[in-house]
Amino acid sequence: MNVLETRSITRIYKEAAGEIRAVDGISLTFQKGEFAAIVGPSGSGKTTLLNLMGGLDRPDTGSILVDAVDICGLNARQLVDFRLYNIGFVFQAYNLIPVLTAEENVEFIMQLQKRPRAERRQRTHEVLAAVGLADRMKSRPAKLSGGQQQRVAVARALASKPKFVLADEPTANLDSKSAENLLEIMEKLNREESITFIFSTHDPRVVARARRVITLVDGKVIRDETA
Amino acid sequence: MILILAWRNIWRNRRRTLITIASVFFALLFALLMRALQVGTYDHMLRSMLDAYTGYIQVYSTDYYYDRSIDHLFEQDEAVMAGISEIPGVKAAIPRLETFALAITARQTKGVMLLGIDPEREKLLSNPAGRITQGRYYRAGEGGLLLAGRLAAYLGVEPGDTLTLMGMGCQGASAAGLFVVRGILKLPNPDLDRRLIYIDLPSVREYTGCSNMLSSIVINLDDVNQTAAIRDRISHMFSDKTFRVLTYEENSPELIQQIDSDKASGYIFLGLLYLIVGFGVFGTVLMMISERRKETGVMAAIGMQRLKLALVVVTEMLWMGLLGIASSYVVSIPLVWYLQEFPIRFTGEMGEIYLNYGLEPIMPARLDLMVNLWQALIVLLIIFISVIYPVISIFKMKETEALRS
Repeated sequence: MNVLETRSITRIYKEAAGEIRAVDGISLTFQKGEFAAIVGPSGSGKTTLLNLMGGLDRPDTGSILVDAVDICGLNARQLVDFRLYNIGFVFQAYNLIPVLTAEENVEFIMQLQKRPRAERRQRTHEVLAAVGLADRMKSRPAKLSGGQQQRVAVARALASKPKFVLADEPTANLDSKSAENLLEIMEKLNREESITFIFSTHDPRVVARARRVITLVDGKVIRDETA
Repeated sequence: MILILAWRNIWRNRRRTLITIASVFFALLFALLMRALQVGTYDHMLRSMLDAYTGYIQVYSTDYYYDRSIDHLFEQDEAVMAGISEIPGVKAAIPRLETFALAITARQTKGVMLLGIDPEREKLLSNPAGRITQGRYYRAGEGGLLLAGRLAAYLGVEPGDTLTLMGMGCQGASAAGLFVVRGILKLPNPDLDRRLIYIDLPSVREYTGCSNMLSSIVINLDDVNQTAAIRDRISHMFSDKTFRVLTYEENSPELIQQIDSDKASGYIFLGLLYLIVGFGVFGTVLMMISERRKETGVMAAIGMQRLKLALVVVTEMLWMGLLGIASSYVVSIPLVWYLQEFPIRFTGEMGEIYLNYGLEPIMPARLDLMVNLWQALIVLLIIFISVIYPVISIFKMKETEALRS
C-alpha cells in the first residue's frame, strides 16, 4: 500500500544566474513501513524533495499523493491541517519549542489536533517512553542533551500518529553514541509499529540501517536500491 | 495553550520584556496623572466661574437673549420658579434682573452693571454675603447696594455713602435713584470686580419701573453632568419659544473653547508620548518575531495554523501591555485620589495669579474612571497597531525559508 507517491515532480528556483532545477522530474513511491534514506551530495535536492513530500513547498509540475490524496490541490490552510494529521517531521536542529517541557512539546501537536486531554497524556507518555525519555518529561529542551532533544523531536513527530515521518538530517548534529541510539529507536519503532521513516542524510550510519537508499544527483534519482 | 505559550515566550528575554512593560507603565502613569490634573483643573475653573456668577443653566426671554435691552424682560412667575426648583438635581433657581447704569459720585462717573438679586436666594449661587470685605450684607427687608471692591475704590465710596444711579427704565422711561451703599465685596473675577453692583430686586424694580420683572433665572445644580438633561426638562416648561434655556456651555462658549484648546495641546503631547511607546512596542515585537523566525516556521510546518501563530504574538504583546497598564493603575489611582483629596496648593506669585483670576490657588486632580479606561484602550490600540506588520509577516511567511533561517 502506497503511503506516499510523487509523480514527475519538478521544482525550479529562478535565480540571477538562471534556473536551478532542484528537483527534476522525480517519481517515487513509498510503502507503509519503509525505512528509506535519500542520499546525495550537497545541492543534489534532498531537502527540496523532502519539503515537497512534506507539503512545505509545492512542485512546479507533477503531483504528490499521500494516501491517494493529491496534496498539490490543497490550499495553504488545508495543507497545514493535512501536515498536522498525516506527516511527522524531525529536523536537523531538533527545533523543539524552548519554553515547553519535553512532555508539553510532544503534547503540543495533539493539542493542535484538539484531542482530549486524557488521550493526549496517555499518548505523550507512550511515545516518550518509546524513545527512552520517560524520566525527562518535565525537562525543558535547554536541560536536555542534543541526543535527548532529537529523541523528543521523534516523539513529537510520532505523537500525532502520522502516515509517515520525514527526517531531514536527523543525526547531523549528534555525536556518534547519540546518533546510534536515535537510529536504534527509530528502527525499532519502524520494525515494531510499522512506522514509515524517510530520511534525507549524509550520514553513513543512517544509510547503513536504511532498507532502501535513493541517491539523488542534480535533482534526479540516479539510484534507488532496496536491501 | 496560546495564553501559556505567549506568557512563557515573553519571559524568554526577561530584560527586554521588563523594559517594554516599563515603557507602557511610565507612559500611562504620566498620561493618567496629566489627564487627571487637567480634568481636575478644568473642573475647578469651571466650578469657580459657574458658582461665582453664571450658574449652570440660564433662562432668558428669547428677545432678551438676542438684544439685552431692559424692554425684553419677563415677568417673575413663582409657580415656574417653584417648578424648576422641584426638578431633581436642581440646587436653586435664582431670579435676577440685570441692567446697565451710570454710577455717579461727586468726583467720578462710571458705567456699571447692575445686578438685581433676591438677597436670600443669591446666597445659593454667587453668595455675595460671603464676599463682603467692608460693611455688611442686606438685613431682612432692607434694600441698597453692594459694590464690587475695585469699582468702589474707583468711585471712592464706602459703606454708608449714597450713590446716584442713572439709566434706562422700562418702556423708554429714564431711571434715576439714590441708593445707600451697604457693603463692599471682593469678586473673584477681576472684570466683574471693576463694574458690578448688586442691588436688591425690589429696589432695582422700583428704580427701573419694571415691576415684578426679571432678565434671567439662573439655575444651580448638584452635578455638572446633569446639566443637559435638566436643561431639557426646563425647556419643556417653556415650550412656547418665547424663552431660551441655555447651559453654561451655550452661554459661555469662549471658556469652553479655551478649555478645548488647552485639551488639544494636551492631546498632542499625549500623542507624541504614545508614539514613542508605540515605536518601542513595535521594536520589541519585531525583535521577537525575527529571533523566532525558525521556531515559527517549525510550528507552521508541524501543523499550527497561521492564525494561531499570529494570536500567540498578539497575546504576548497583550500580556506585556496589560502588565504595564495594571502596574500603572496600581500606582496612579492612589496617587490621583490623593491629589484629588489633597490638591497641590500654590503659594507666592503663582498663588497670586490664581487669586487674581478669582480662583482658589489649587491644582486638584480628578479621579475619572472613564479617562483611565480611555487611556488603557489607547495603549491597547497602539499594541494592536504595532502587531499589524508582524502578523502580516507571519501570514506571508514561507515555511521553507523560515526553516532555513
